[in-house]
Amino acid sequence: MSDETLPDAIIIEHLSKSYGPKWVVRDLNLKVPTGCVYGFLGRNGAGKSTTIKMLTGMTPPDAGQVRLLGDDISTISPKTRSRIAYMAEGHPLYSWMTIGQIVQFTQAFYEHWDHKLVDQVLDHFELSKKQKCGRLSRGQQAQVSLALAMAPDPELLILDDPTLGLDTVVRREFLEALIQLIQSRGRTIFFSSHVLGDVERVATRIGVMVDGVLRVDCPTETFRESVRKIVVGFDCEPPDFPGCEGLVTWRKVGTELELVIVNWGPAQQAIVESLEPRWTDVVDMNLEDAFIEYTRGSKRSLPIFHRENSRVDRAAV
Amino acid sequence: MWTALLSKELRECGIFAGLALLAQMQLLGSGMDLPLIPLVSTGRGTEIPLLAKRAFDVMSDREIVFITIAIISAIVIGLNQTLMESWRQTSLFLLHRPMPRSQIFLGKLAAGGLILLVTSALPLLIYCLWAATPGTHASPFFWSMTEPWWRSVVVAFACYLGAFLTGIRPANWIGSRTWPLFAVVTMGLGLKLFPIWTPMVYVSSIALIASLVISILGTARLREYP
Repeated sequence: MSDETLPDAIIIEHLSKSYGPKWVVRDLNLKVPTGCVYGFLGRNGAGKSTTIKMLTGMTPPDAGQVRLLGDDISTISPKTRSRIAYMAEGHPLYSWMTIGQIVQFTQAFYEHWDHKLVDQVLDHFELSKKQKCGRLSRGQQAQVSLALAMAPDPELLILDDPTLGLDTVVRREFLEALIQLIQSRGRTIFFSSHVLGDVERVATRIGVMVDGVLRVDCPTETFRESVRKIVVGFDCEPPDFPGCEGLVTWRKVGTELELVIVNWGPAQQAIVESLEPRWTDVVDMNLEDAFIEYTRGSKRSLPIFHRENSRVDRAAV
Repeated sequence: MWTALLSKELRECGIFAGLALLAQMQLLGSGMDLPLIPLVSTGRGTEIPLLAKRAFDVMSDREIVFITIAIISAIVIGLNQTLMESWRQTSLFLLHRPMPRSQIFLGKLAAGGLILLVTSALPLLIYCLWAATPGTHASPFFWSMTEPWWRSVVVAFACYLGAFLTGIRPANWIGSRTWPLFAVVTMGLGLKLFPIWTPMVYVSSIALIASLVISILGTARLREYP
């Protein structure tokens, strides 16, 4: 999807933000290539929304720099901003406006506006321009926001949890429309989500924030394939696990020892075999399981996935 | 885009602007013996338009009500323009439009100023023109008599800016958030109560308004939007 010859659509350098003594985002460095669909993940309070607000200039950072489509966000020109669409969490719209009025209002700010696309999206979701925004369901508000975001033909879309609060059917419809629009125009999309199934379906690359620190930045497949659950069976109570490179967490479940390890390989296998288990089972995980296991581990010692080669290191936070 | 922004702001403040206009029309209309609602009007009686009854009164009763309505409506409009965007989180929607943030806020201020002109200055102008028209009342009229009333409009505009600044300030309500509003109302009324506005008082008023606009633009640029 991404084109190596094009510059990165998003460049974040040493971005930090604190509220009082608590660092919400800490020394964040990230590059999102043009054409990439980037899923930005993290548990509640991990710093996703704050990062997105700093990306769009809604929250000034304490330190660091953000460049979107080559422009520094603190001095971004209206022309560059018109090439970026932003859907805020909860899809805020003016409740007193009808859909037609909000389309007209938004259109007034853009030189280029695809009327046909707006009509197509509204028609696809069976929305009438006479409906009041305040009377729309959350799903319909998301659909209107999507139409408004796509109409100026943006090169970069920043979506803050776009499917939050939507039921399964509406979420699926929304994502299908999003995928269709992405595929037809090859845009860069940066979106945060709590729904891992959505991310798996759409994102080519993911980032995982844990306590304000970006722990993972790699292709979605790499993350999913690298995090493994190892179930080790014993005849009696299992021994304590001595630790190994890439270990996320371990726990005892009856006579079994469950390990979550990033980049399971011969070195880790040798350590497990040294415990003389009766059997060992390596379990593949989907993105959701991998994410849950990865983020509920001991946060200070989580292995980090690096952008360049996805190698695993010990974090020194 | 200016038209779209102004229309939105005017529409959102329409209800408060309408109420303020009706109140001023009732007040100044009864001063011309043309009240909107005759039942609640005491009429003009022996009042000399635009003048206080007693020589040492700073303001006439009608002027006190006029400035009260003007200041209250100015504060309500200033807070409505800022707090509603913040509570509904529509500031995230509005501020991402491709328009410099300073221009978006200047647009809001222009809309607020326009509303104050329509709700306070326009009824006052009509009242002054009526008072200046020969044959409408048996009392003297000089345009200089209208000056204290126009000062009330200036003070109301400063209070509007104070309310606007309070609305966008990222501070605690039980704390420093309302300081600009209280400070401006106090300073505005202080300036208003000067018996004669010397050039120095005019300069002070202009400086107060300019400093409020600069503070608003600075706060809008630096603050965090929830």
